[in-house]
Amino acid sequence: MRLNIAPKLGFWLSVLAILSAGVTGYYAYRETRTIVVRGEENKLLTATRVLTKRFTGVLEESAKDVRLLAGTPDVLAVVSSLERAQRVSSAQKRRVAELFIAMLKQHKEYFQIRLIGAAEHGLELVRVDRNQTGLSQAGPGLLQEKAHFPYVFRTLRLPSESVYVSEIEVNRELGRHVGHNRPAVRIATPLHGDDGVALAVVVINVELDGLMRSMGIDLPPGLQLYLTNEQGDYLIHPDVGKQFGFDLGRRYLVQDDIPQTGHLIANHQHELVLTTEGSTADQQLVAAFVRLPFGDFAKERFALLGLAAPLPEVYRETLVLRTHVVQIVLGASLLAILVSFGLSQALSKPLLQLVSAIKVFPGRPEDYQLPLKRRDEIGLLAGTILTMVEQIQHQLRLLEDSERRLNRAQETAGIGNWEVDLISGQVLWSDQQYRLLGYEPGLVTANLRNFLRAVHPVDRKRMVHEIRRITRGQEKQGYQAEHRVLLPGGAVKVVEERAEFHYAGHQQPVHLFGTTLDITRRKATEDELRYSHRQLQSEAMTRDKLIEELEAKNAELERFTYTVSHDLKSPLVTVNGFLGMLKADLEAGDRERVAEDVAYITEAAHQMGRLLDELLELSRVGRGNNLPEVLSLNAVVSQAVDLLRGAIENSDAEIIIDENLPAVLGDRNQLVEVMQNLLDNALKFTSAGSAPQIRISALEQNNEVVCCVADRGIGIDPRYHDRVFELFERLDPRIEGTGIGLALVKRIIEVQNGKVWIEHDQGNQGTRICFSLPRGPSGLPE
Amino acid sequence: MNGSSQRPLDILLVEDNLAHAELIKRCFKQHRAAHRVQHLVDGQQAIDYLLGVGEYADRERFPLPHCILLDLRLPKVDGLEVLRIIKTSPGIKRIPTIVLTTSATEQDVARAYAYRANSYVVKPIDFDKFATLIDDLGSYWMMWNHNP
Repeated sequence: MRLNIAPKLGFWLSVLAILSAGVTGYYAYRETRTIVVRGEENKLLTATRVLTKRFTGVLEESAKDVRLLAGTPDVLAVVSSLERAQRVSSAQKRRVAELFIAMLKQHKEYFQIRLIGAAEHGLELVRVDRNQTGLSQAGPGLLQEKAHFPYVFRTLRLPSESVYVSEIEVNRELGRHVGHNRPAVRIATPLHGDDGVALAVVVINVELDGLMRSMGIDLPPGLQLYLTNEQGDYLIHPDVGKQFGFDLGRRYLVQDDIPQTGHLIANHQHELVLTTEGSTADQQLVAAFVRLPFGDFAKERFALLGLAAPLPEVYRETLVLRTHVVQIVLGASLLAILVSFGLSQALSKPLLQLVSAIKVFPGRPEDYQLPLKRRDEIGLLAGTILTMVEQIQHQLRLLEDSERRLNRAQETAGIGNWEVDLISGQVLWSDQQYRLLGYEPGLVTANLRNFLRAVHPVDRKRMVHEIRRITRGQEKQGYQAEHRVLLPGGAVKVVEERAEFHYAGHQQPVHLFGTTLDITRRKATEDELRYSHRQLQSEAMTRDKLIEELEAKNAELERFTYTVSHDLKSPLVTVNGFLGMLKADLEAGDRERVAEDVAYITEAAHQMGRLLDELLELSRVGRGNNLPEVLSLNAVVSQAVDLLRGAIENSDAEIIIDENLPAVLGDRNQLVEVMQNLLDNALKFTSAGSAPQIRISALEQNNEVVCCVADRGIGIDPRYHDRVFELFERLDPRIEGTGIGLALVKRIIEVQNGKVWIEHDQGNQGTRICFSLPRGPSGLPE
Repeated sequence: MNGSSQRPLDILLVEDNLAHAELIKRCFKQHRAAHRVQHLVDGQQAIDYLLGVGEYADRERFPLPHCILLDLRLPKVDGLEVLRIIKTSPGIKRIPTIVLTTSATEQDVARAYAYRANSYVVKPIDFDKFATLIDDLGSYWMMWNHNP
């Protein structure tokens, strides 16, 4: 606003003012030039007229003068002498000459006055010339015969008292008079004797240049004088070369130069004013031409007199005007700019004042610096604004009250609300929203960054993801999210956000309105409930599991008891049976049989002892386990091999142990026992006729180590692969054993979190028993 | 006891405990019963023998027995399973089968009878009792006088 109205207004006002001043100035200048030209034309015409009058006057004067001279006694005396054919004395001549001199002195334009006699071929009787030096009477030797000139022979034929006016012509008469080679008019009058015979002529030569000069002495300088004859030939012209062109066989005609003058020459009009706008400066003229009747009026002889002023000269007067106009225009423009600026300021200042007053909003009405006292529209506007402000403030107070109530309600309910302008990105938080995010209301800017800063670090990534989802328009209706807020004191609050999009008729949502609800307490209760529930569940599960385990243990124990009772009973049956046999055999005295019976009894007793030992060992496996340690399988294997060294040497067995067996987690002694049992089996169940070959290998699979002990012995039918691990299970009762070994292996491995199985390989004979164990950390020393 | 009056019987003894088997065999001998005893040590052998498969295909050498003495705890195939197969296989299901076991649990007795064992005998610790049992068996066949 501040940047616009005032300069704009000022600018256009200035432009308008400058334009009008300029146009006015230009128009005035143009008009003035026209007026000046018209004035000049009028002036010239007047001057020309005056000049014409004067010229006519001068000619009339000259006519009077010549008649005056002709009537003087001295001239008359010469005439009477001529009448009497007496010789004119030099004294007479001198008196006439003195007369002439007096006349010449009075009229500067006259350059020669003569008395010419009709006799002797018009020999000049008296001649007075105006020389460069002054006036002088021509001596007798210089007098000439002039009868062949029109001014002599025509005048001689004129009646007495008549005056002859010659054509304007160049004076080419000999003599050193000033009029030589100048346009001249000869005024002459005849002198008659008493008998009426023309005896002499008095001739005054009027030098026209000088005449004109003397006539135009009061004319403004710089005017050009033109004079032409009836045909238009220049007689006087600023360019002397154009004068009397016809004399030299060339014709310079005024109507050639200025065609309009043709009308004058054709006698269609008497006078002419014109302005020529030629291309060159000397053709640009303001001129006035007037027909100048002279001489014999009956013959309507005339000359054309013209005055011309060069146009630039005329315009020179207007140059000052132009300068002034430019100055005035410039001044007016400057003034216009100043006034416009002042005016725009005067207009915009109260507006700006209004603006700055409105900016105070929403201050108290007293703070408004409104130009209320003005009686113009501004004052009216100010008054309206004040009323408006008061109304708005009233509404604001109502709004504030309502907002305060809302805030209090939000505070009590723990609900904050917020909105996001999805186009501008502007974010608004209610006071309670600030508090929910752990901020003092208004102390930080409501924006996304501060929101995320308040979000608990653990939830931040999720919320960023959530917000990104919303801003990418992946949600159409709204969204709901729960997150934690880390309060400045370190306390944690749980809030629930619910937001809705508003479209306001657009394709894309323009607003996101949301509420934030403090659900910390609810959450805590929920968590507690959930915890209790889980606790209950886990307790129930534990109980169920315990029951299950107990049942399994019971079943196992039952099975164990059953098996044990059966298998422990067996040797007893044997012992009892053979004791009966022994008794009978002793009675019968069969010594051989007695020894056999005793052997059976002894063997049964041994078997019973072994069974009990191994059962004890088996019972130990399940309880009192050491913590698993990292073990090198190589060490375990070599320890087992050491324990079986005797059996190995007896059977001549070859044992191949892979190098760098991986490390496992387990109990050393028990694993040695496993390995010992497996090796023992491999040595025991050999194929007839070949030395046992046993290979121990291991590989790592995922987090386990799978170790296998393979032999080339009798093998185990796949049908019994599961059975062999059962307690007291012996596939071939003829081979020594208790049937506990593999059961023990199975139990140990399972207690160490592993599995044991027999791998069936169609291609190879023999048995391959494998077990898995948790893998030990890699990179440990063997 | 009048063992001589008895016809010699083919008896199949399935017993993994070699000492027990010896005891039973001696028992038969003491009573001068000329019974032909075929001794097998595991359940699988018993099944193969009775069904006449594999190495026991020759019925001349391995005739069907008049009576089966079956231990319950046997290697490879359990005695109860052998009993189930005997009693569900046509042709052999009529052969009297006496369960001989050290176990006197009610569970085992019930199962054995459920699988239609003809008699359930807990291995007697008393020699006389055992001898009587075998005698009774001989009388049993004399009484009914018929072969399987």
